[in-house]
Amino acid sequence: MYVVDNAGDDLAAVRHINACGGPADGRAVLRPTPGARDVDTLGWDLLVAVAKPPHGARREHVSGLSWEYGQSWLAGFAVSHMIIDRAHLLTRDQAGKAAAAAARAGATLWLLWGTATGLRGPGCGGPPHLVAGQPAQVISLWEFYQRLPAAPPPATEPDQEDDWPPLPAADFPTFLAACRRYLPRDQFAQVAPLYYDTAEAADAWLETYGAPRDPRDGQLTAAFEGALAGWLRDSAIGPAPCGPAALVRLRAVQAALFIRAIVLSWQPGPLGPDPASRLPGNLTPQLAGALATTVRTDAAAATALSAHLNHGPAFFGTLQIGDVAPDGSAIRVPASRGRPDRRGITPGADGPYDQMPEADERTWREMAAAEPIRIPACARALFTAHLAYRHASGATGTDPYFAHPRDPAGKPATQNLRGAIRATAQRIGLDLPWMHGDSCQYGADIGLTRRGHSWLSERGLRLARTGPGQDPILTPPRGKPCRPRWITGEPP
Amino acid sequence: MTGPGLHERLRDAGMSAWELGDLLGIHPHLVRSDHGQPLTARPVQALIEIARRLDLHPADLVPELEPLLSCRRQAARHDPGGQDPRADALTVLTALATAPAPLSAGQLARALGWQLPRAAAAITAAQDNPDLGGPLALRRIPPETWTVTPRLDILTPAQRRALRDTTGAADLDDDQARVLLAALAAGQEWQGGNYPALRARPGWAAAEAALKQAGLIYSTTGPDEVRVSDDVKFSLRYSDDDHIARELGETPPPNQAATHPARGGQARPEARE
Repeated sequence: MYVVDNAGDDLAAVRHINACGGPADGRAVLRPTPGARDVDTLGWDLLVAVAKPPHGARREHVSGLSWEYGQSWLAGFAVSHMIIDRAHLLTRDQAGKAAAAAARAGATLWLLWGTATGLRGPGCGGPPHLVAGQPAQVISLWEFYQRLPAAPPPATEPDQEDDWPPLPAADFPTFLAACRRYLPRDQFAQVAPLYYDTAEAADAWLETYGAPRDPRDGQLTAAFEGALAGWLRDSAIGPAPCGPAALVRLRAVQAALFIRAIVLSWQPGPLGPDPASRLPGNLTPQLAGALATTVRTDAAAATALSAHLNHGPAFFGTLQIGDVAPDGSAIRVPASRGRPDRRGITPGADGPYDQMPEADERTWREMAAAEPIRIPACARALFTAHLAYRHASGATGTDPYFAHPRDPAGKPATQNLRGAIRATAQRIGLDLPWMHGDSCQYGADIGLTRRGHSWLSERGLRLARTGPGQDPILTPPRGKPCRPRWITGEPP
Repeated sequence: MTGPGLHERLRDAGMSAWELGDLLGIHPHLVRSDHGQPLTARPVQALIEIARRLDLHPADLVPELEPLLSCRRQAARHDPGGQDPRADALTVLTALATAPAPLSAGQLARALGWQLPRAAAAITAAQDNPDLGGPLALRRIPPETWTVTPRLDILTPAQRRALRDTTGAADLDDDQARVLLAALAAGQEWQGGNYPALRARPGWAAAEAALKQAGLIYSTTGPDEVRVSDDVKFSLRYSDDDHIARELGETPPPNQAATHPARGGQARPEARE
């Protein structure tokens, strides 16, 4: 803990803490509401310090839990420096609460003392009413600037879509050739390496996966479909920075699968005027930033997961604390975990049985695959914040990650999550397909087939589970794939 | 709202809201105004796409935009009534493009609710102002009917020929995928001689014909053998790009031989973007 002597209430100090960055930089600046002497108000100020809107807690009906959520978000963002501006306005209780929050988060506390009164007491290095019993060092503004420099400016990413040439509409069997024919050579040299690298990555993944077909009937297994969707989502297509890059990657993956007699088809018709732009993952830095303004950690994490998987929260209740990596980078649902019965969908469950078992199975397999769900770096704080909230609630490894707020042990969280996601999505202007009603389950593009919600179907992708691969005669020869040397850039 | 309504224009286009939504890549609820929210609550992009696809003025979708748009509105519900020859010519050209068959001046006048002299004057104006038709040009179909067809002075003969020969970029369906795989795996005699038996399967001939028309496969020694085109081989990484380089007249540098990719030290896809 440091007490920064700002007796002159220097404007440069305000300028410096404005430049210190925000929670994403590991710093939180807490500005106490002038005149408020109670701890609750300081809790709302803490939420503002971790990038929540001033009225967020009231809007989400969690005003009484501001410290709990504030603490969780400090942990989620891994805040390592908490700065309290005009700390001389704090009461002893407020200062004690803030210091405890910083200590629990493992953050260094910086108190900017904006008056000459009461800075040093007898026998104490800092303001005695604030730092009672805690070691504190009084430093000058200059030392403060040196010890806590301004955050580096955020890296600006160029608009990468502009860097790409228009790509041909040819299907995968002739896509690369169409690029070669109709693009200038320098632009083809941009497309081809990505195409070959992605195809080779697909080769490697398929080799690692092993047998994708059921030996009894030759069909591709549901587990393979789920694993492929996960790989496309987290490694092959989802992380692509723009639509054209995603399209090149998709065509390469299709070609690599095809020579193993696996047909992954893309139907871009229902995807709108720029279908390739719908291919990359939905959990973008912009969306993650918008979700980080949510106070409820479960709402933020569930909405992020829903957008990432393109699923509703039907199976989110099966997640356990131990499934989520401590740094929020991955979520692993063991494939052996029992798929919950769903009323009206699962045969034998309560309610009128509806014809959706296959789509439901696909959704479940995309979630409970052999490989974990990889969370983009921009969104990991959302998951670690909720992990911290659950840990603070006393939950341990096998407890549910998403819990019902009033009856964690007795009630499933699904309905509660559904409402929280709806409210969050409405607030940030996010239109998740599953939020539309039952009348939207049938579309002109798919006739009377029920529209399931899955990562593949949201992108117009369809894996033919049955088909040519069941016939061994139709499996083409596979040698080492050919790649022109001039594309690799290798010396001859 | 003074122009045509959304529902009316949807009906004119012969589309359902679902189809329009799919075409535009937006949810059908964003197309219609009868799902609780007025159109003003829709994302701007949805309004733009609807207006663009249905040829609607944005103010016809959202009347509140009317005072904000500086462009002149086109009255769509009533006859312009004026004798502006250019406006009449544009009307005639649009009518001819809409009609399923060539029309005479009399038929045009009757369809548009005009006097015959006005229709004739409009046809003359269209002939005198060929730019009005944009990519379409007015054509006389003997003896006295008129239609519009694409202009001939924009594309080169080679471009026109290439367009005529284009069979479309249709995506592979399951049957075609099966035939293409068979062509790769067993299309030629030395690959086992199974192809004639495969050809006897139901639906095979149609899929094979479609692939041949698209240029993905071809036969040189009779129907019992098929070969895969060089473009497909290249795209599936069975061959290099020599054949395209030759067609494009590119002179390959002396050391540009095809090679197998080095397995070690490959760059990850991310590094290419």
